[in-house]
Amino acid sequence: MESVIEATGLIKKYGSLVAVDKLDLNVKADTIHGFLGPNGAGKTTTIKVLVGLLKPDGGSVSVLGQELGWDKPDVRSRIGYMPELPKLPKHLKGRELLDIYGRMYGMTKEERGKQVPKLLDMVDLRERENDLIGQYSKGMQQRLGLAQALLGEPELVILDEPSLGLDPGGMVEVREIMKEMAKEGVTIFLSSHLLHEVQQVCTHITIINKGIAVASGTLKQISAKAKGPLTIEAEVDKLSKAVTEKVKELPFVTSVAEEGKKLSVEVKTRDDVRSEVSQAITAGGGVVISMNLKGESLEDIFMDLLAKHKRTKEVTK
Amino acid sequence: MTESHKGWTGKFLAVVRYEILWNIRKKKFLGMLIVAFALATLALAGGHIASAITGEPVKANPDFVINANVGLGGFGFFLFAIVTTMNTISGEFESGTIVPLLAKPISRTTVFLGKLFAAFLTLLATYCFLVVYMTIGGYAIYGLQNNLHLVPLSLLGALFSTLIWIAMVLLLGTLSRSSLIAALGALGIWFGTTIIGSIIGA
Repeated sequence: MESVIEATGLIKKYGSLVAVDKLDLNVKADTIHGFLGPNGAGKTTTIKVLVGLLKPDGGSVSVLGQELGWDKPDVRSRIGYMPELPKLPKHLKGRELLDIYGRMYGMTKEERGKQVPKLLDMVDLRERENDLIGQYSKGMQQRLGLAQALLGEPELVILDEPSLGLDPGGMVEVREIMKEMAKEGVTIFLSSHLLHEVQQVCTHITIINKGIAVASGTLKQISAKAKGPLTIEAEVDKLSKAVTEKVKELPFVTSVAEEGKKLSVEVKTRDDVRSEVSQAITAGGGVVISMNLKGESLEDIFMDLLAKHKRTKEVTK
Repeated sequence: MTESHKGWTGKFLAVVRYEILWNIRKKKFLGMLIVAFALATLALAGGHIASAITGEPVKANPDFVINANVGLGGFGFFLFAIVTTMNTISGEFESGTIVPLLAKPISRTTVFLGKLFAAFLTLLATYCFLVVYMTIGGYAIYGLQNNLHLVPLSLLGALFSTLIWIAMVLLLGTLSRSSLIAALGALGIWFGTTIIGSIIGA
């Protein structure tokens, strides 16, 4: 698969503060690539370098096969970018803004005439298209920010926290739009704090902490890197010592703890072994009421990787 | 800058449109226009006011229009230019609107030139309106005027001197990213050069 974003050893400093520290990033075409990290990890700085708003202090970056340099507008004509909480000119009307930005993409009058209403419909702003942006709510400005990022049919769309400030319905709509764009062959690079959002829409993920890529790959690949213990939590009726013993006999089980009807089984494999555990419980005479896998969600993996990275840093120090 | 010539014109005009719409919707600009119109009206009505106080008829003043235009072209137009352009670029940095703008496929040079040209057009329209108003009003109130052929020339002179000032305000705004520094800096330079000019002249 062709790389759409390729950064090698990317460095960006603000005075003595190193915001991005030799970051390697590879985003493949036709994927929805999530970009995760805690506050101040360097996500927005990296994105600003990718869209040419900031000049890198070291390393190389190529976007859509073109080396990024200072003030290269041609590369940007193939990129759509939605900044975090986009600040749009309040003196313009919604439709005027999209029309003017469309001109900046070199779109013809006919193209703008087709695309601008379509985008306004998509973000549900058609009825307010002739109102000044200053009169829009935060959520509406956020949706207009998304629409302007999709102007000119870009090959790559970079979204920095697109769901911030949106109501639950708006968040679902944004997710649907992303999925729809991905189906049309648009590569999406998504920075988000909403781990469940990333888990739901992203095919690939990069986790960044203190300017360094901690892990990158598909969710399964990242999950394997986390290597933290996986725990199966089961609610069992007729929980007895026999049940516990049967579960302990399983080769991948490292420990078993019981509390009332709750059974916590820590396993050393990252494969889904819930059916084996369930069979062991049944064999011991128990009845499984519910069963959850803890440590498999992106949140668990994310926290685990960040903790691991912190420990590594401390050891290095 | 790697934009093609044809594409460049369209993008340049997009920035001009973006900026003109901002200029004409700025409350500061509209306020300044109302003040300038009121002052011009007051200057025109000066003769009638004096006449009402002294009881003497309004005297013909054949130099009213040219004197008024030269007066406007000095500090008045300079102030107008500062108010119009002080936040043209720095205001975009302050509000954050510069981010989506610079992420568009348009060079920074084009953005700068487009904004400069839009400010020039806005001021040209305003100056023309004020000069025409003063000329017609002066002619109607103070009778036949001398040197009317010099009025367009004084307008042109005011425009070009303004262009230099707005370029300076934009440059200061770009470098400092502060509207206040842009305005005060340009004002300081204006006073400085005026004082130095007077000293050298003397």
